[in-house]
Parts: sequence; C-alpha cells; structure tokens
Amino acid sequence: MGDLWYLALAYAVIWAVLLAYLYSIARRQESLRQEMKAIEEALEGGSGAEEEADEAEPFLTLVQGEGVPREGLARARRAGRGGRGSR
Amino acid sequence: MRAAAVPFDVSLTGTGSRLQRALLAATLAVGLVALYMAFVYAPKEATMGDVQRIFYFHVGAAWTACLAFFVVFLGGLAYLRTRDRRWDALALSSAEIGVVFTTITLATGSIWAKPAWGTWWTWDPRLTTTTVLWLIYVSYLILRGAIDEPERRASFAAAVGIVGFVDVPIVFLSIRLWRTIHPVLVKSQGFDMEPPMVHALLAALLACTLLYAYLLLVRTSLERRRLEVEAARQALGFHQG
Repeated sequence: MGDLWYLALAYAVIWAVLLAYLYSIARRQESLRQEMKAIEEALEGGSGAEEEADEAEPFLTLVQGEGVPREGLARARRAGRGGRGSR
Repeated sequence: MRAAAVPFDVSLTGTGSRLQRALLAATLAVGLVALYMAFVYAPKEATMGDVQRIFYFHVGAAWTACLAFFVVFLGGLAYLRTRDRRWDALALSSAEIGVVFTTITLATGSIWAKPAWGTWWTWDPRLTTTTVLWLIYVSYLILRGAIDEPERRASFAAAVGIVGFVDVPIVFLSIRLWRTIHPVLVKSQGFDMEPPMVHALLAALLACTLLYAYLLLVRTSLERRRLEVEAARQALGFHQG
C-alpha cells in the first residue's frame, strides 16, 4: 500500500470519529427535546384535567408511557405561579 | 397554565446559540485553511513522503486532548470547592471530547506507524502512556454511568478527573524520560521542521482548538439542558429515566 492510502485512511478516520461524535450529540439533543415536549404536554394536559374534574383518572399518561402523579403537576403549577423554584 | 410559566427553562434554543454559530463558522474557516496548508502549502517530507501529512492533525488532536483534560482537572477542582453542578457538567463535557481527540491521536498515530515503523503498534513509552490516558478518561465516563446519586457521582468523577490529569505531563515527558522511537517535535533550538511545516502545524493546532471550543459549548449546553429537564422531572414527580 502506498503512502497516499495511509494518508487517506488517517483523514477518513478523523472525519469518521468526529462525525460519529456529532451524531451522538444530535441524538441526545433529540431525545432531550422529546422529553421536554412530553413535560410540556403533561403540564398543559394536567391543567385542563384539574379544572374539569377532580374525580377523573388519577394519573396522566405521558408520551413515553410514564405516569405523572397529579400532586407532582400541582406542585409544578404552584412553582410556576411564583412559588418556590425547582433549583 | 402554559409551560413557559414554569420557572425552569425547557427550551433548546436560547443564549449561546449565536456564539455557537460564530465558533462553528470560525472552526470551518480555519479548518479549511489548515487542511490546505497540510496538503498543499507544506512541502513533502524528504524521508517519509506524503504520509508525514498525517502528523499535522495527529499533533493537533493530541494537543486538544491535553487541553480538554486540563479543563476536566479545573472543572473537578471547581466542583469540589463550590459543589456547583455546572462545573461538573463542564468537566464531563470536556472529558468526553478529550476521549474523542485521544482516540483520533491513537488511531492516526497507529496508521502513520505502519509505513514509518513497519508495524501498526508498539509498546513505546509515548504510545503506552497515551493509551493509559485514554483508559483513565474512558473509566471516568464509565464510572459516571455506574453511580446513580448525582452528588456522589460528581464528587467521584471530580476526584478521578484531578488524579487522572497526572498522566498528561507523563505523556508529554515520556519521550524525554525514557528511550523511545517516537519523533521529538520540539527540541531546545525550537521546532525541528521547515518553516512552512511549522505554519501548517500551527494552523492545525488552531483549527483543533477552535473545534474543541465549539464542541465544548455544544456539549455543555446539552448537559445544562439535561440538568434542567432532570429538575423539571423531579418537580413534577416523574421517575428518573
């Protein structure tokens, strides 16, 4: 194999490693974005449910299939109205 | 109530994106110039030929890895001092990028070694200490994944990041402390190369440093958002996922 083959291989490896890392960051960003969307939907859905009926379903279902306790939403809502912060 | 009223920021667009775009543009511009200098501007090396052109970005990646691990060291110290998780996020992001650049250093060095030394790998002090460095920070990342409790995870990671940095000066000094076949780049008289080769090397160093800064910004921003989502999940009473 000639010098140029090794040169091409080395630079191909550099690009491959960098692109793989960028791809992994993009995937994690997308996963986080979906999680944020699920939280936003839970907050919006939870607000409506509380106003309509207290005896309705005690848990709201998230996009990812996890149950959201009603008291957790209420706590987040209180925090959103100027109560204690989450951090 | 709309999600925007919640006291934690759950948007992925926000401050920092302008700086990210500026850094990306600078990285691409300097990267293209550095590639031109490595392939066209720098002369062909008399003994090794074209394969020597691997060296510019091999050294650039090695320098960037050391810089990244220095930031892990500083982030670890700052976390232990302040217990602010933003320092831990910075250290984690930098460790991840450092591992990426160390991987590039080891891979390109191995590819260069085949035509230059006639073997893909040898247990030379420089190669061995660099492999140990890679293993230390891969362990750092694995350790983080193995501890659930955030405070404990951050404290252990800070300790590993600080102690692990001891290997960085050992890597640098390995070619002076032990007998080695690895080329010595900087001698007492300065760079042991033709001036155009030095210029190409400096351009590659700058390009790699800018790329590191860009990746650190993106990765730290991602980690900060992850912490915010974690806080939101806790406030809502979600299970940890």
